Amino acid sequence: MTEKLNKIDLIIVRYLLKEADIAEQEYLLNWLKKDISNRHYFFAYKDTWEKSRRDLSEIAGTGESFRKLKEKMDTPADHDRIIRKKSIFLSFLRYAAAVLLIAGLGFAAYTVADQFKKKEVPVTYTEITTENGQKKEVTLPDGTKVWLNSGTTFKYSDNYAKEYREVFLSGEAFFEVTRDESRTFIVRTDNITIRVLGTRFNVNCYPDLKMVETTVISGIVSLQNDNNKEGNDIVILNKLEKGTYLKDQQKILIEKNPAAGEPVKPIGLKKITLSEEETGYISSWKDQSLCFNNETLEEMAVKLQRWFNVSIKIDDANLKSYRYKGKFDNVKSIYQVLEVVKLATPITYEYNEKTKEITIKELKK
Amino acid sequence: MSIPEFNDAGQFERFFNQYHARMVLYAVKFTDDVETARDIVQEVFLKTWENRENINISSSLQSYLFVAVRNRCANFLKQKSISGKYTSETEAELKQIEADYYASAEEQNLLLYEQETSKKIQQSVRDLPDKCRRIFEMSRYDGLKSSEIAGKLNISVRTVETQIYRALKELKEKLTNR
Repeated sequence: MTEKLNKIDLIIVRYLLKEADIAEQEYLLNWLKKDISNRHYFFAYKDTWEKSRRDLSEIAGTGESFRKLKEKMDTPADHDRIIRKKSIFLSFLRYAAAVLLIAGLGFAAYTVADQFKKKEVPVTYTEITTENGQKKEVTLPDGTKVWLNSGTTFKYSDNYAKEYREVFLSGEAFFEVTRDESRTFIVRTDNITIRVLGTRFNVNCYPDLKMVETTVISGIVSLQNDNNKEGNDIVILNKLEKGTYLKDQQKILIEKNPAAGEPVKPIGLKKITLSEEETGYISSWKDQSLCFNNETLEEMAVKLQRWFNVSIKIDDANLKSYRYKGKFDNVKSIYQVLEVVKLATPITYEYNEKTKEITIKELKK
Repeated sequence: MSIPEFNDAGQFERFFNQYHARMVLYAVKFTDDVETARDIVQEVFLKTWENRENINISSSLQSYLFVAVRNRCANFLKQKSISGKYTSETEAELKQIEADYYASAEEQNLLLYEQETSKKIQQSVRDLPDKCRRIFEMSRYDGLKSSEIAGKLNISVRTVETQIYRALKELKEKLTNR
């Protein structure tokens, strides 16, 4: 004789067996939410279920894992570590070479260089740079398209797309990543690492800016703060969201994620949701539109210098905090922009032939 | 800051052997997938080792690692949920309740978990009534669906489910009355 099961016991069993249908899942969810004693009851069964796996140590694969870990601990396999090692070694090499030169021991320098060669795993990179006033469009081997804004350095190794798709960026770029779920697309900047499978997004990480901004046009993007050692430092961005990494921020910022209603715990990272229009502003540069989204004159000057390859000086400190919003399609010269800005803000400007510098001044009434 | 367990190869291996399986089993509760759980634990060990000079551990290395595994698992679930890997909102919510429960469990309890629990369970399974044991093993160890077991044994699906419930209840009681 088998006694009849309670409805909830039956559902718990079916859930653990992964055989519960959607109605049963919903019933279980509501029942669990109702009372803490219900949750205790459920987890007593769940725990037993988990512990009843056959031969736990075999499942864990301890022996195999230890061997793999030892391998990694002894030889740095990943890119990251090679590069870091290289730069430490290079600076050491530079220092060592200087000392040796002073001592006049050229021979020993050769020995150091030899050792250096042996330690290196040869990885070659394709590097693409844009000067101020210049933009480029790049297509990567997997079909991913990258637009590079002015004053940007972009590179990828010849191992690109072997295991994953890794690129390095300093400056600003817009990515249209070809979808490939088996090979994550990774953008490394000085401060954050961005991971996606296939999506469109903009990254602004100029070294002279105080922040790194990542804006998602479509799809999902994961941002990782590289300066946090704990590992719980990942923020997920959805469509029309912008993640900002503040370079000087040492504190933990906890900000509510408006969609999920849950606190995210980024470290020095924050995210906000934008309208379609605002998102458009951020990536418009790739279509030759120069946009200012309520930016200060000081921020505008930085952009204009890169865009037109000019030097700009703001003469009056008061002026720097004036804000401006506007869009310029297919602009040919910086004067077109300055003339329009002049209408909205009390400025005047002059061009110095000798210093090749534009000076923006306050318009005296 | 130095972590004594990392200073000596022999000591590190002993430490690893002592805690690795427990960490993977803990991670499996979140991930539901052994491979992912192993990867997460591996990553935690590696990252801790890489940053060994900079990490300041106030308690013990094992509780530090457990917390790191827990955080990574929580992130893993969050990513999974956001990227729409679950078939329904309900499923994602159930997973979240589970994750919250495991994340809040005292680390002390996790550390208490011993290999013996496993042996005890294996023994308890052997002690189950014959029919009950057979059905439980077919489900848990052979990975058969309830309907497949029902077909093989020529019984109803409901009987299979009832027997699995009885087995679990028995095991649960054996585990709590140590």
